[in-house]
Amino acid sequence: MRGNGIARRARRIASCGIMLAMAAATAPPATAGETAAGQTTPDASRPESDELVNAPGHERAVQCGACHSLDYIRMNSRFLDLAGWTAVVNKMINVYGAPIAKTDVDAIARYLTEHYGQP
Amino acid sequence: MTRTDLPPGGQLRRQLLAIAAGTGALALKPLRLLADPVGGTAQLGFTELPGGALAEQSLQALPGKVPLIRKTARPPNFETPIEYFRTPITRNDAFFVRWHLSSIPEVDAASWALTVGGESVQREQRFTLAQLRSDFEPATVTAVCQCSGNRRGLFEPHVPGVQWGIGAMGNAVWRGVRVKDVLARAGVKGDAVEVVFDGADRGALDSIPDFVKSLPVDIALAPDTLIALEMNGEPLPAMNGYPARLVVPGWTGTYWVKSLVGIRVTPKPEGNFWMSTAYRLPRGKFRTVSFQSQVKEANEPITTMVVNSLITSLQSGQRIDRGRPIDVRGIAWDGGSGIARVDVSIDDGASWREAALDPDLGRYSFREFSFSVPAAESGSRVVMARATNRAGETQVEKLIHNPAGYHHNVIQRVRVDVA
Repeated sequence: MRGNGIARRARRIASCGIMLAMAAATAPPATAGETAAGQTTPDASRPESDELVNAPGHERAVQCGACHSLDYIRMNSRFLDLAGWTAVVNKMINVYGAPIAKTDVDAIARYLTEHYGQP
Repeated sequence: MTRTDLPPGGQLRRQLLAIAAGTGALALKPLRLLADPVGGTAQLGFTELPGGALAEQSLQALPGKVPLIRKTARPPNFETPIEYFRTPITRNDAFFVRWHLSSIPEVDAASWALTVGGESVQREQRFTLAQLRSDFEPATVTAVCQCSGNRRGLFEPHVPGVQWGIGAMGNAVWRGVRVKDVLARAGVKGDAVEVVFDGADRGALDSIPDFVKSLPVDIALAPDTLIALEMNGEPLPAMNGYPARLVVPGWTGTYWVKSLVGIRVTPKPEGNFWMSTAYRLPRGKFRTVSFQSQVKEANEPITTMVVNSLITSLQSGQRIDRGRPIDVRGIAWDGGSGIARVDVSIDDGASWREAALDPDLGRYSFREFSFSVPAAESGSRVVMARATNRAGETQVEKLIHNPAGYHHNVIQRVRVDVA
């Protein structure tokens, strides 16, 4: 059941067509012109504004890009504290079903607070 | 599948999709959503926005659109720059773009169909675009579509979400067919409580709740509630819900479901995330109409828009030569009572004078106002505009804070420098 769910998600993601910065820690964030199928559009040379600060926790935080562009994070800066970012990450998991491990919540929230939180 | 076992929310959408797949009815092709940058951010103003939002946004053109203020790329959320509000009707190619879910279908008009069903109809119906056009009397309404969270970025303290400035809104002439006429063909039963609307958009993952919204049955059956097939005399832009979207005059944009594919009439409240959890206000904070079947102990759905206005002729920090006029022009709107008056102050609210109103385009439309006074003395002045509707409601001086950042209608304060 679980395996089917993951496969279904993967199919959905693959069919999504709009660029997806997937969670693989080794993969760089996808750029605007790159589709999930690996095809390249004429806009590929333009950098997608999907980068986050490269610092500890980054590899977990880019998981957010599975469902939305990472400009959501930069747009919502810098006014949330650790409690605020923790609430946001938990909402993404509990309400929107983001496929992020509960054990990653703390690291992601700390990363977001340090780089995109209240100074 | 029988009518009575139609489940709520995402399952309904999956069933509709299954039906569509079976008949080859709906082509779900991803749209290209890449935007071309043509400008910077500094001129896009509104320093109250969070610093990150100001730094992030830029002017970019989506397919079929002029450059708009990009807030987010995926899903696309793009705001209309202020210069497009200097006319009472907002151009289609400048109309704001707001999607919740990142998979936006490219609908094929020839195979598109609208399914009408649910426990509280007598017979299921299915309509093609051609049938909607030929079988029903056309109806037209001029109405403002405004995102519930328009001006969220101006909230202090800031709240998370899309950090909209002033342009998550637009006013258009919508033409289509009445929901009540379409539902009459299905036969609404006496036990109907809500009418549920599903669009063709979907989440990147199955776990993401499908975007489904409901209305009280009396609002769905109101003569001005339309399934719009045209916007300002043209087909709807893809980014604004082609080929058909719901138009709910007076109600906030969240109910204006885009790329409509399913309507379901139900004897009980719709319980999906977008109704039961999202788009809610703490009870008792606003005087807007109540969505009775959805009220909970602590909160209730957002419904109609609050009275509001926007000064479009002046920018903060603008220099005006002494002796020249201070021209205050703008637009005012509300949730459907209609605008009764707009008052303008050029002395930071110490005194107010009534502005002239341009012709009334209908109670759901933007109403233009204008006021002019010579800039007699040098110095900084704070210009304000305050709209009042026909129900006697007016804009607030102090923000009514709420967790999701809705209903920002604080009186604007624009500083001009007379020299």
